[in-house]
This record gives sequence, structure tokens and C-alpha cells, in this order.
Amino acid sequence: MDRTTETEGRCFLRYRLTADLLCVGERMRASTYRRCLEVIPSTTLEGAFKVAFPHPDRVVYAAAKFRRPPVKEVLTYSPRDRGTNVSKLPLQVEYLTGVEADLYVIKNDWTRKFPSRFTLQVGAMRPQGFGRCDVEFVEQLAPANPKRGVLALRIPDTDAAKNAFGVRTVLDLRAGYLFVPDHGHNGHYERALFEGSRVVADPVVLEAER
Amino acid sequence: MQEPESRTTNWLIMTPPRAEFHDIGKLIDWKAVGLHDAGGGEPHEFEACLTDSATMEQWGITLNGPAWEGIVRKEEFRDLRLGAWPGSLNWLLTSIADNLAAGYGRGLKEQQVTGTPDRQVHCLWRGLDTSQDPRLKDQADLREMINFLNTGPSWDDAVAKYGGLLKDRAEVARPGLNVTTLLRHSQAVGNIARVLMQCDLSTVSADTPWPNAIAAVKDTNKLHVVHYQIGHHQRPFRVKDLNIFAHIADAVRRLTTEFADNVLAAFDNQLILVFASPDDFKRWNQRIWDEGLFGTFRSNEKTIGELLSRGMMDFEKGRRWAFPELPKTLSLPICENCQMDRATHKWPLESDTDEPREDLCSRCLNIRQVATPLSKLSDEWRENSVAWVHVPLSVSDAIESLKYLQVKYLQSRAKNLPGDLESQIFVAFPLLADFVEAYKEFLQQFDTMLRDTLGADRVEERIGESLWCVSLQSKEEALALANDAHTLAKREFPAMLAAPTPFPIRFGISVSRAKHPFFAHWEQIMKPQQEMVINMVGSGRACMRLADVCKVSESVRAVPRRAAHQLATVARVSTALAELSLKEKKARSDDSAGDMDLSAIGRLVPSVIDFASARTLVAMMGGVDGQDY
Repeated sequence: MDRTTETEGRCFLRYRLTADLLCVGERMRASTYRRCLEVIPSTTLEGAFKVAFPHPDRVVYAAAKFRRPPVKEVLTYSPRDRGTNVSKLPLQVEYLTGVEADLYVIKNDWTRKFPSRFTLQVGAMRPQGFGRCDVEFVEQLAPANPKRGVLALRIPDTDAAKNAFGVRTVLDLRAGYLFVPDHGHNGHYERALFEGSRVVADPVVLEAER
Repeated sequence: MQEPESRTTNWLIMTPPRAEFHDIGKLIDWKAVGLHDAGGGEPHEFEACLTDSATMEQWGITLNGPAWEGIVRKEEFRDLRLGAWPGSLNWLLTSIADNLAAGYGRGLKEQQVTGTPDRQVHCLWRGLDTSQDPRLKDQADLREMINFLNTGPSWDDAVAKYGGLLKDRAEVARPGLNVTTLLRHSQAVGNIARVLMQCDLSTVSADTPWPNAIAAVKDTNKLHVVHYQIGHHQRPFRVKDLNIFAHIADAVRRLTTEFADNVLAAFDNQLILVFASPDDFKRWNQRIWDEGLFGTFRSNEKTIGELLSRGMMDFEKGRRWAFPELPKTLSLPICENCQMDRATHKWPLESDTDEPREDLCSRCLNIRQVATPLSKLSDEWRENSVAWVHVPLSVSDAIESLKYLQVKYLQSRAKNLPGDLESQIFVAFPLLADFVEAYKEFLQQFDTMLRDTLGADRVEERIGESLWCVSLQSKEEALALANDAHTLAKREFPAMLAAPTPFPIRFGISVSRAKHPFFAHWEQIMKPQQEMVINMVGSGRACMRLADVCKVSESVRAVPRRAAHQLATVARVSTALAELSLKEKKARSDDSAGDMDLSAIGRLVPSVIDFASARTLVAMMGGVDGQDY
């Protein structure tokens, strides 16, 4: 049983994450336009860690905050039907370039074993070359008390996720849904706390104070 | 307007006050009709006509109906009102509402603001008087008004008859304080008085002396004043999705009727609301959610006493969310448009079509199905460049700007003002309401300007109160649009535009091909971060103060096309190199630069615009796009 939190307190490992091209997509519109978020939901990172560090039982709770506002661009791309080799309707894809972010991973007996440098494949359009993120360990943060602030990302509105990120109270909720894959190719949407909600939580998930 | 119903409190059945009428006597020139008091003062509550029953009979005053009840509210009319409206506390509600809706000047003493009364309205944002003394001067006019009040008219009847005069008459005639129309003040008093019916008035009775009565209730009752903005989850993609703005406008109309007293002002997707009961605010939010919308709001929840000393427009800094309770999970598929509900329909509805299919929930489907056709955008302009133009109002900037202008005006007209005037003065709601009406008129003028300048065939049907789509013949026209906006704003709000405070009416212009999804534009222009924002999809964004638009426009036009093209090309490779190049050309700025002279725009960076803005504008003039969207 993981006793890291009991012995050390809830602490996070801070990494630097960089990516040339990142597409954290929403649901595609009319199969022709994919909008890109300007936040990275915790579930997106969860999925990326599951691929990079597979484990039958462990979920990696991680949060990422951009160090500077990302630049958003649009790519027009014409995928081909593999069967007929004919171009389908052109697809427009929003993506972020020159991404630099702080990545916070909750420390437990599993995540403490992660190497100091690794690669994550994050978001959509990965076969097309998007989403390769280089991750480098920076430091272990000291346990911090939850404090009042504005949520900087999206996290599922579940007890497990809220516990992991130290969300004690939701003072002012901005809600929505995040996609959660089930086994196989299915999934469902789970209610989530969106960026902009005012909460009492661990500082890693809060916007920097202005 | 629907007449409010009688309400029952736990101690009294009260006919709702028609408190709007309380100051209607200010439309009479009492001196001219020969009824000024012994000291030469001007009684505006018909005092000289109400001295005794004989005088009342002489003037034909019957005290029939609630309009008179608002007028005879003061202590000197106690016996009269106890006789005509026994047990009623409407005099108290009207008095409190009158004070809440009063300008800052109520707190100033007579000795501090001396001089000839100014009964005409001084318009702060224009910096001049916009009316002359509108008061009625004949006894026949006074009798006509008395007869009118005797019929128990509604406030709508009064506005139909006296609306022009109410708009031209200042609420307060003392010099330097004549900045609010009697019309807005009266309307606010009416609304607030009826909302106050929800308060706990059990500690007073109809014959409690006036000052004691206010003192008894002001610290034990709270009001919740709210600056509310209605938001939508939808991300409009197809032309028909733009119907969400018509849906919001319809929702505002419905809610303004349903919550007639609580809505003090409504403009575009914003409202100023007042509630005495927390349950009423919850009910408001539930109705917003029933419409498939959500809200964000800033609060000012204080006791009546605190609101009397600091004004009603002293909102907290941060915005809060008003979101409904959502189901914990949704199974696939989710609606592509709002992403807040399960999709139960396919669009297009016909299955035998080559159009890409979308999954929609029933609400988003309905929005599309009832949409008014926007034929220019969906058919005629398919290959055109278009500009989306959004002209929202920043209420917090409006309050800041009005406060600045009010201080300057008061200082120019009054003497012996308090030393801490700037920290003590506040913008009363009716002043903001007057400005909101000016903003709404400005939007109409902006619409007319667009159609006159571009021609009706290049302006789509009005999409929202503050949202337009126009067809462009070239992307450079976006700058011409910005110029026209500045010219109109300077004509309508010259003093406000010249003030050092941020101009509260924002302009967001976003340009691309017509097919580019609207929601991508909306992210850029929903809340313009600067007074003028010009977004060129695929090229960048230019931001500037509205007062600088002409200067920037002239400088950009002075840049030779070849120089513009070269700078834009360099910037696509390296922003830092392009910025360096601009600085170097600015430093040189000699005649030898010729058709590579960038000094005109270089001089503006960074004091007027930043490099990113310069780059965007130069790229636009140089005919260089990042990509053509």
C-alpha cells in the first residue's frame, strides 16, 4: 500500500515540459474543424502517462500550467481515404506551438520511480507528428497547504481527483465535461471542474496570483 | 408595462408603490406659476397646493391613486397620507428608494454647492449641457398635471406624456450635480421601492416618524445588487448557430418582463439587477439555466445603510459563476455544439446529403431550426473576406470614467468641496443608466454608419445588439472600419474619449474568409482586452487605444508597400529580427530610406502600439497573410 502521502505529505514532483506542436483537442466540429484548448486537462495527461508508463492499477494524477501564453495556429490538412486514396474534406486543426509548461506529478511509490527525463505523447493528431512532449525533472516541491485561488486547468469532479489535487472546497463552480476512456475504444463524459472555478486546493492547480 | 400585483407580507397587505412619480413636481417651474414658498424656495412635492383641504380643492387634487402616494411621502404630509392611505408603508419604501437612487450630492451640504440652480442636464460624456430648463411655467400646465395624476396613471402613461421633459430635467439642480436625468432617477426609484417590499419592515408602522423609520430598517435589511452577464455554452460553427444571440436577446426580454422590478437596466447580454430576497436571485439563476444559458456576475450585497453611504454600484472585484447542477456522467455522443449535453440528433436532418454530419442535443438543434436565415453569410459571401465586429460595454470602465468626469465637473462648478472628494464620490445607478442608454443609441448609430458607409448589401442582418458581420473588399478595410468607429465615438462621447481613463465602449474586429468558424473569431472579440482590437486570422492581432486609431492608421498607410512586405516576411522567420529591424529603421529615419522607410510605424512602437500589433498591421497593408483564412 502506498504510504507516501502519509509519510511525506501530499507533494508534487515538478518537471519542465516542452513541445513544438501540441493539439489538445475538443470534439471535432462537423468532421472538419478541431478546436484546440488553451489548457491541458488532467485526464489528457493521465492518458499520456498510461501509455508512457503502463500499470494495471495506477493512475497518475498530473497537472500542467503554461509558463507563458501559448501561440495558437491553424493547419489545413487533407487526409486521404486509405481505401480509395482520395482526399477527404480538408480538415482544419488548431494547435499550439512553442509550448513551455510546468508539469506537476503527484509523488507516490510509483511515480517516484519515473526517470528524470522522458517523453510523453499528449493530445490529438499524434500519428501526424503532434503531441511529442519532452519532460525533464526539476525539483520535488515541499508539501503545501491548500489555499484559495482560481483553478488553472480541468480536473474530473470525482473524489479521487479532488483528493489528489487537494481540492477541499469548491467556492464557485465553472463546470463542463471531460472525456474518460473506458476499456476498449469506448468511453463516456465525466463532469469536471473547469479552469476559472474558485476553489480551495493545492497551489499547483491554481493560477498564479496577480 | 405589466402592473405589479399586490403582495402580502406577514403583517400587512401592501399595494405596490408607484414611487416613480415622487419627483414629478420637479417638472413645474413653481416660481413661474406663483407658488414658490416664503423663502423663495421651490416646492417640488406640491406643498403649496396641499396646505389644507380648501387649497387642495382649489387645485382639484383628489389624492386618488398610488401616484399621489409617492409624492406625499415626507413628514410634513403625515396627517394627509395617514388619512388617504392608512397603514401603508409605501412612503417609507419610496423615501429609501429615493435615497438609494440619488446621486452623490445628497451627502453634500448646501453651503458646499452654491450658485444658480442648473435644472438642465449636463452630459458628462459630451462635456456640455444637452438641454435647457424644461420646466412647465403656466398654471394651466400645473392643473393639467394634477388632473393627470388624479386618474391614477401608470408610469408608462407618464413617460408617454412627459418623457421628453423628464429626460431634459436634471434630478438635482445644484450646480455641478446636474448630471443625471430625472427620467432614469424616477424609474430606478420605482423599481427599487417595489423590491424593498420584500424587506422586514415589522419594526415600523405607518405613523413612525420619518427619520426614525429609516433608521429602524436600514441596518437590518440587505439588498443584493448584481452586475450580471449572460453566457452561452454553444460554440457557433454554422451560420444557423448564430441564432444563439437572438435566443439570448429573447431570453433577456422574457426575464425583464418576469422580473420587471428586479431588472434596473438591460443592455445586450448584461443586466443590472437588485434583489431583497436570496430566493429571488436563486429563482433568477434557475430561469437562466432553464433557457440553456449560464451567468457570471459581480455582487454588491450590503445593508441598506451601507448602500446609502457607498452607492449601489460598488461591486466586488472578481466575477463569479452561476452554473447549473450537471449530471455526473454523459454517455456518448456528446453534443458537438455546446458539449454540455448528450447528442440525440444528427444534422443535417436529411440523411442523403454530402454535408458533414454533426451530433447535436435537442436545444442546439432547436436553435438551428428556428434561426432566421442570414442569406448573405450563408450564400452570397461564401468566397468573401468578412469582418466580425463586436462593440461591448465594460461596466467597470464606465463607472471609473464617469467618476473621473463627475469629479472634474463638480470641481469646476462648486466651491468648498470636501478634500477627500475623489475617494468619497461614487457613481449612482441612474447616472450609469443614462450612460447605458447613450451606449444603446450609439449602437444604433453604429449600425446606421456601417450601412451608409459600406452599403446595405455589405452588412448582414443584425446578429446581436452589439454584433455585426460585414463583407470586406480588402483586408485593409478593417482599418477604415476602425477609423469610422473612432470618428463616431469622438462625436458622441468627446469628453469621455479625451479623459485619461479607459474608454468603456470596446471594439473588436476580426477578419477572415467567410467560411472560418465564428467561434474562433468570438474568442478574440468577445471581451476585447484593449479599446480597439483588430484580429487578422492567420496573421496576428493589433491592439490600441481608441484615441490612437487615427494616428496609427495614418502611420500604417504611410509605410511603403515594399517595406511592409519585407518586414512581414522577416517576421515570419524571426520575430526578434523583425523587431530589431524596425528599431534600427526608427533610429535612422532619414530620407534615404525611400520605399523601405518604416519610420512612420517605427515611431509608434512601443509607446502607442506594441511590435506584435505593428507587425499585424504592416502585414495587412503589405498584402501578406500568415495563411489565408
